[in-house]
Amino acid sequence: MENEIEKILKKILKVKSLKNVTSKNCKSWDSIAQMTIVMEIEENFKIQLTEKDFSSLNTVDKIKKFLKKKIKN
Amino acid sequence: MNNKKKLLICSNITLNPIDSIINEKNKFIKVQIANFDNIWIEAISSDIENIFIHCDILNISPKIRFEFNNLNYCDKIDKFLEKQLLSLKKKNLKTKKRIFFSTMTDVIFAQGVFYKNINKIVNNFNQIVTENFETINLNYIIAEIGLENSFKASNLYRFSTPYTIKFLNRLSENIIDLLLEDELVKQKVLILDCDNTIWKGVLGEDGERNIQFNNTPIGNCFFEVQKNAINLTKNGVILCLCTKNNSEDIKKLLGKNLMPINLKNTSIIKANWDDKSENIKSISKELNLGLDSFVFIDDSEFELSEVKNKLPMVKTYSVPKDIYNYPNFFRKNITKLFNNKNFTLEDKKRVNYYRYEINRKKHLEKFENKEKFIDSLKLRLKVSTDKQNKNYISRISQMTQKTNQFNLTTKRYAEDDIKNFINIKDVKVFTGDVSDKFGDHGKTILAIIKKEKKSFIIDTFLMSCRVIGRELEKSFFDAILNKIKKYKLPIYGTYLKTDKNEQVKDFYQKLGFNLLMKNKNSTYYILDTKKFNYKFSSRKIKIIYGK
Repeated sequence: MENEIEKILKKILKVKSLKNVTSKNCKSWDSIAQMTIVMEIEENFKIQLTEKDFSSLNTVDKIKKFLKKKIKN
Repeated sequence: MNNKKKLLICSNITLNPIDSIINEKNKFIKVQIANFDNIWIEAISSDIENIFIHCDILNISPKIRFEFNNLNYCDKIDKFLEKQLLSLKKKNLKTKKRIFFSTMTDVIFAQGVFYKNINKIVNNFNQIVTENFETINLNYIIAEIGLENSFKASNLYRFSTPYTIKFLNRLSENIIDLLLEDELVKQKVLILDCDNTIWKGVLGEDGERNIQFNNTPIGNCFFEVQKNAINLTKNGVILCLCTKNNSEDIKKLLGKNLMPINLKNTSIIKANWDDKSENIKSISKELNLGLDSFVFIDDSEFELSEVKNKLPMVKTYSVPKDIYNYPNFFRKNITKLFNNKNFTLEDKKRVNYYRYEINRKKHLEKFENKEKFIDSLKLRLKVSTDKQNKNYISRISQMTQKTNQFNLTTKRYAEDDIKNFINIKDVKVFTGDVSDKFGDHGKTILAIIKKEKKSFIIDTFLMSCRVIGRELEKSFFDAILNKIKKYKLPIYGTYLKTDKNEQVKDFYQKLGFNLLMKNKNSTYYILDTKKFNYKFSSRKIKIIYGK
């Protein structure tokens, strides 16, 4: 699953490495990218995110943690 | 493909995910997303060459989703769209960008009460875009992946797009295909097997009466395929047959004109028991066309793999196992290989040229030597210069783009380049129209010559492969020399080596030029003024100068 998340994020953010990437330190991570991330994640993992999830998922680590937890449940 | 193709996406809904999707799938396309909801202005004011426009019924106006019951309002929308489309078309006559549309889809409203009003807008829109622009049919994508997989209501209300990522993926693939179709080598020759490929049954075993090519459910499928193959020949595709059959049987059957395919619309028929790869190779020789422009269809996996192994550059296709899928397979997969948007009149004439070519070859066999044969053809070469060529800019550009074998420098020029050359005083554009007693070849020779302060430089010298071998190049050079020798300036010629132009490597030497310098891939020659009274051609070719 982690591989899949990374593949999606690399594609959307157009970066080679995701190490310590956050919406603050990554230029390409704007509101459009955030929207695309949500659309891709929802469809790939067949989940629906709330508005709250949407705005809190602003670093690569947070996205990974969130999805691990969400999919376990 | 050296340069990235730039694509501007104009849409009234959010299509931004397409950017990262296309970027991942194809590195040769650079996507830019236009300002949201401003499609008609963005499309025409941008300087990007390729423009994709998606106008979604859901977002034509903020009110539209709850005003569908209002017939007046719908009429207004309908007129508004029509006006925008026609004005875009008109403006693009000048800017000449490549604009393509997705069709409008109303499938999510298909069962609503006000479907009629929506449907009218959508139909009218689709009719105008398909008539005037290239299109991507969204209903086809939806049919392929299913309604449930195409739309997602939460995306519409959160992100202003009704579509799923899955749908956008398929849409992106369609955009890439359309955008890159120009880059593909255009196929020129279609070779069909006969038994169970253009009719049902085996002619040699079942006999003429028992094979099916019409009037039965299966027969109608083959009839449709034949008709579509013939339609291709009307657009310049050369149709040949290659079958393991007795030659007389095939010719007798085709001679009866019972089927769309007959003796007149096929260029070469190979009906014998030799390997198909050998037959295809010989077709390539007879037509003087490279095997990479050949498509071969057969029902036998054995024959297909024999051809595939020996001639990997030929595109091979198998007749579908379920014959009922054959017509659709042919329409969808085969026709597009030959699809050529920049069709010139010359292309349409091409089929005839090759038929003449075959007659000419038969004629050649009667002569003991080639010189006598050439003289017997009664060749005429009409030479046109500069302004006399102004109605043939598209053909001239096409010649520089397509000619590979007899091409000294292989410089590719766009129509605008040619237009410039014709207008600049110090560049001379010479073209030659060739005809002989078998028919007309059209514009088939081209030279672009640049005048410098103390010399002439032959920038381009090329000849279409269908008139090679008649020493026309020498007569053409005689005609050029006749026009420029009054300046008394030496003429420089260059040979730039490519994978395909080996046959002209000694061209200048044979004409009497002196070698100046030789590098790995380029050789430079000079013709000094002392040789200006030479006549290079000793053949009987009548030169006519255009007026």
